[in-house]
Amino acid sequence: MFKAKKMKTIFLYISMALALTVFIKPEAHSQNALFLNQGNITFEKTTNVLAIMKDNMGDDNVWGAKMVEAYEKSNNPHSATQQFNLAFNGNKTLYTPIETDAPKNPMMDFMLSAGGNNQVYTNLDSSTSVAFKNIYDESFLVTDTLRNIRWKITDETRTIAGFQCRRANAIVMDSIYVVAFYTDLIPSSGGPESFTGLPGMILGLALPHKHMTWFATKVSVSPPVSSASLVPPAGKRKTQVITRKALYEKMQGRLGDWGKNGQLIIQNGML
Amino acid sequence: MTGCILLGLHSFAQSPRNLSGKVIDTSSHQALKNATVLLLNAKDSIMDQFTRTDQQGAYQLKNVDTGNYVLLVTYPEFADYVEKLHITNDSKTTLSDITLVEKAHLLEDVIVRQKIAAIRFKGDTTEFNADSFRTQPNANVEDLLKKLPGIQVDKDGKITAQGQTVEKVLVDGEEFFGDDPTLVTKNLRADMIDKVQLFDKTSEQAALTGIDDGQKQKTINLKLKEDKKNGYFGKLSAGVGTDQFYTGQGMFNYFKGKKKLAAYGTFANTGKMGLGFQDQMKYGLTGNNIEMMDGGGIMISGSGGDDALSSWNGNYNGHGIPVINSGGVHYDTKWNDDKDFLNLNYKVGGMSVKGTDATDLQSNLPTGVLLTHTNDDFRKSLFRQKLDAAYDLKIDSMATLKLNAGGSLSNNSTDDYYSTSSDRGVDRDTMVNRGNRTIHNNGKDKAFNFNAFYAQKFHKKGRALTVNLNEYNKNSDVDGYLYSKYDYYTDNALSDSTLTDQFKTSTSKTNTLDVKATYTEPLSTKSSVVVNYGINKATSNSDLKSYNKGAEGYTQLDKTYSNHYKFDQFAHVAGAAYSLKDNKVQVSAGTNISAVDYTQTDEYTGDELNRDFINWNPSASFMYKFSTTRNLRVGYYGNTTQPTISQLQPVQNNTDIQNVYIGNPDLKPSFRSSINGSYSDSKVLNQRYLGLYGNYSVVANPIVSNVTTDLDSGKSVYQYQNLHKNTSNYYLDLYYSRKMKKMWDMSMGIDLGLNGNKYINYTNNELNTTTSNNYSVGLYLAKYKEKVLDCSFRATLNYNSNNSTLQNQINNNYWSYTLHPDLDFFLPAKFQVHTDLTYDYQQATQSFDARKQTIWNAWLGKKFLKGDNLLLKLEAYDILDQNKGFSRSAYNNNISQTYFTTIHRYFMISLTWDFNKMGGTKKGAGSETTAVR
Repeated sequence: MFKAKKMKTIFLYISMALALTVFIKPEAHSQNALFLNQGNITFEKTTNVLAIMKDNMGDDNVWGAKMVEAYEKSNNPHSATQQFNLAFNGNKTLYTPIETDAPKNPMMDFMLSAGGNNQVYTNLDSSTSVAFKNIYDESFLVTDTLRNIRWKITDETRTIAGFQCRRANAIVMDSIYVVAFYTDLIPSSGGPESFTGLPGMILGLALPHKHMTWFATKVSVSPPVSSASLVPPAGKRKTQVITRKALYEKMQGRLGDWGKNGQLIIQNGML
Repeated sequence: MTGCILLGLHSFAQSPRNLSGKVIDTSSHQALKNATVLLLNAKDSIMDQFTRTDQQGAYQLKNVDTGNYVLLVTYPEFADYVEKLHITNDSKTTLSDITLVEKAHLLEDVIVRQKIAAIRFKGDTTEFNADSFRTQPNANVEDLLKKLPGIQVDKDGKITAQGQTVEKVLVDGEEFFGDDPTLVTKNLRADMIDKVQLFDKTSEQAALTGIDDGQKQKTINLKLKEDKKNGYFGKLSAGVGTDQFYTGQGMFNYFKGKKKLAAYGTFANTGKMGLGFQDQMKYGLTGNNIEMMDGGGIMISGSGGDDALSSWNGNYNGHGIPVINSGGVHYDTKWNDDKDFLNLNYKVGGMSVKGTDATDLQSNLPTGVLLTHTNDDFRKSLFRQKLDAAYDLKIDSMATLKLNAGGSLSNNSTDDYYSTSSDRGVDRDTMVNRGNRTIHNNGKDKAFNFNAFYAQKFHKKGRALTVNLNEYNKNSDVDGYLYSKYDYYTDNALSDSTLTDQFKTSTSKTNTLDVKATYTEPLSTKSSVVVNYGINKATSNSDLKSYNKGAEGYTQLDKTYSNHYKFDQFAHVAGAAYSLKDNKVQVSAGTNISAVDYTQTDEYTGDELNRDFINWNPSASFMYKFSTTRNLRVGYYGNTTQPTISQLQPVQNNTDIQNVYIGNPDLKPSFRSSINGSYSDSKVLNQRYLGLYGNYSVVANPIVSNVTTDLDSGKSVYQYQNLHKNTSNYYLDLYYSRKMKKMWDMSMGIDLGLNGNKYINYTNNELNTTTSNNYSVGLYLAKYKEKVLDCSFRATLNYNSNNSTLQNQINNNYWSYTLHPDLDFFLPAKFQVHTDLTYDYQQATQSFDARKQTIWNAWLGKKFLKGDNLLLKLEAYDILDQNKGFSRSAYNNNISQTYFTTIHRYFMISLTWDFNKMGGTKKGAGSETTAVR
């Protein structure tokens, strides 16, 4: 008897908790929507390693084709995932990798490690960003104005991490097709890596022909992110301060004759 | 003046203005804060600018040029507001109030329902064959989907299947976002699609594609057609040269879908044998199989290591003048969704070599120096055929079976004519012996091998069981004649003579069987334990008969040199290893232990030799990854080496009566421990590389030879003994390379090497410690410019030191160096020039003269035809005619030097034609370049 009563109480608490959860979900507020001005967004970056291998070594030489075939048959995961955190407050964002000690996907690790753990500080008011990038043995603080992206707005929508998002498409770096999903509920115009400039926060980003996606898996508002905590990355002792254009020229000069793999490294280094 | 007016007009015509307005909620008539207001270009929907409304619902769009726009206002849970704007110089700058409607209200007014097709699908996955639904040429994916029963695509591109909205469209397992034709030129066309699969994302099919987020979603996966290869390619090449040198090659490769047939033939007397490795891979004429291990390791496995006719680099060992012909056929096919794979190979080849080896051997004995000169005129020929087949079967997603079987037949014959002379003293002042030996052998080999490999995976990630079975069987028959005559001298006068004239037959049969099971159990995501157990059985039977020559020919059996042995070995092998792997560190440690038992039976006497051994094989390794490009490895490896049967009880043989082996049944195993380490650091952007490798190994209780050389006859008797001292060897190598921007962007490399060993043996029952060390410095310079030049230069300097405690008064230390430029120039009109040169110098020692040699090669080529498919080459090999086969070596208390016949100067003209005709569906990809913007 007593037991049943206790169970009932527990059920009540659970139902209340559930109701509360539903209540604070953003879409529950219809008329005066809950806009988020600060918070943390967890992004999962997925790189389809098999598809990149196919693009880079699948057709011409026999070794490459055999390697791709062997990889496809093997037990190794076909894609690599990585977690990033995007902290934002008003018009400042800071994008940082979430370190884990799990073994990495060993395939193409060498090619994909360049610019794979960027820290990006973006100030949307002054339209500037400072990105700390490790490209093999060298590190750079890419200090520049924001990349000017001509976004094409569409009427396609999807829900990402519980947020209704609208799709926009663009071309960056002359030829890379980008698909982004932004939400009205986070007025900050930021996004992962160097992708910004939409009316709301980018929660989904894909480079469909380059086989990479970034999707938000979690958005949290507590603990709160203070504006003061969002500061540009400092870099290390030997870090070079450089503009985007100068970095491109530097990489092109050194990796320009590396064929497709060189272009892949340059592309990732420039994102 | 005019300029000013024009400028003024221009700025007037463009005069941008600010537009302002207000956003209100229809139902509550309240101002909406934070609504998103976007201004898009009407022609391409590219966003011109955006803003958010303030507390009062007001917004302002700044510096709007004249033109056509779309005003888009959005707010969460409200319907989008869309208005076309035509902005002219006369347009009002204040826009009328915008009222947004909540979606819930909207639905009440306009009920939008989609029709649901009443089709049911069985199972988790419905699969449509794309080709069975006709579409227009260049139709897109949506056109195809519209044709499939049960799938609907509305005007906005929204897809509905089985009444549910399709959340995701995948292409080969990767999400397909749909390409915007105004932004992307390449498009996925309907005719590129092989199959359309429809499933719930949590089904097994979804898991196989590798993407699963735990949600149940209607998903469409588009399987692309494979880039099918149909057609052929090949190569024909022929060359003729001076001194009757020739070379010829033909290769042909034919594809049809998943079937491949290849054939090749080569014939040459220039030392070129079979196909080079590149060609072997290109034409698939190799059993080499690439496999990706769990964790990303790459395993390349070949079939049959003893294949004399398809060595890796396709070269013979350089001794003598060879004539080599070889050919082969390869066939492979895949079926049943690539789950089954069959590979067949047939190879045939013949090689004949003739030449002379001349060796000078200096033996440093406690009582003096013995110098032996041996001349060997040889002719060898080999004819061999080999057939092998491989069949791979993927039983299900968890189990695979691989079967390999192969057989070979070979005939060989060797003729050797040896003449030897041994003298005492550094100045050869005292004659010891003079000898002649002739050996003719004809042999036949038959070999067969079978391998079965079964791998089973389990649902727990990382758990695996493999079973490997291997059987090998070989029969050899050799018939031959031995004629040997030695004259022995005392005080430079003939004192004794021996003569052997025999006919010999030998048959041997070997059979080995190995079975091994390996089980891997993951302990966590990072660590695992591997255990293995196996048995190993080997039997062999060797029957050797020697007949002396009598009046009626070779009829008298020589009992001393005839014998029949049976050998049986059985071993249990078990082992366990632990490994841990994370982002930075990889550690593994384990040991194998084997219990070996063997018996040798003398079938003539019935005597048995029985031995058993316990062998250990511990190993450990540690790797630390500082970064992707910098790592450190340290490893330990230890193993027991049991004495071989020929060390315990060798077969009595009189083929070389100057060198006689006797057994030692009391031998105990030795134990080798080796430690190796490496450090590598590559600075990719700076193009610098540093590598350091080292190894030190030491053998405890080593089995060493005891050579008793009789200075009077020059005869040596060998017996093996255990030594209670350690022998050791080491090497250390440092490599550094970088690109030098200031010096024409050349690559430069420096190589420092250090290696040596300490070896101990008994010489005439006295302990002899030999220490040898080699120090080397290498320098490498290279410059490459695509389609212009490819040049390199390498210089190596060596110092060799050698010390033997028995004869430390003899100095055999010497310097040597090598210079090697290698130049390729690509000239206009499709000409190419190549030249390379190797200069070798070796300093004189107390025992040997100085030696220098320059080998200079060059060729001039010109390409013809549209695809550069025809190559005409004029080639000169060893232009200075200095190539003499030569090698030097030092071991125990011996130092030797060999000159051998080898190919020298010739000139050749050759023509190579590459042909191909390949068809197939090309994926519509254009080349893309990345640039900064």
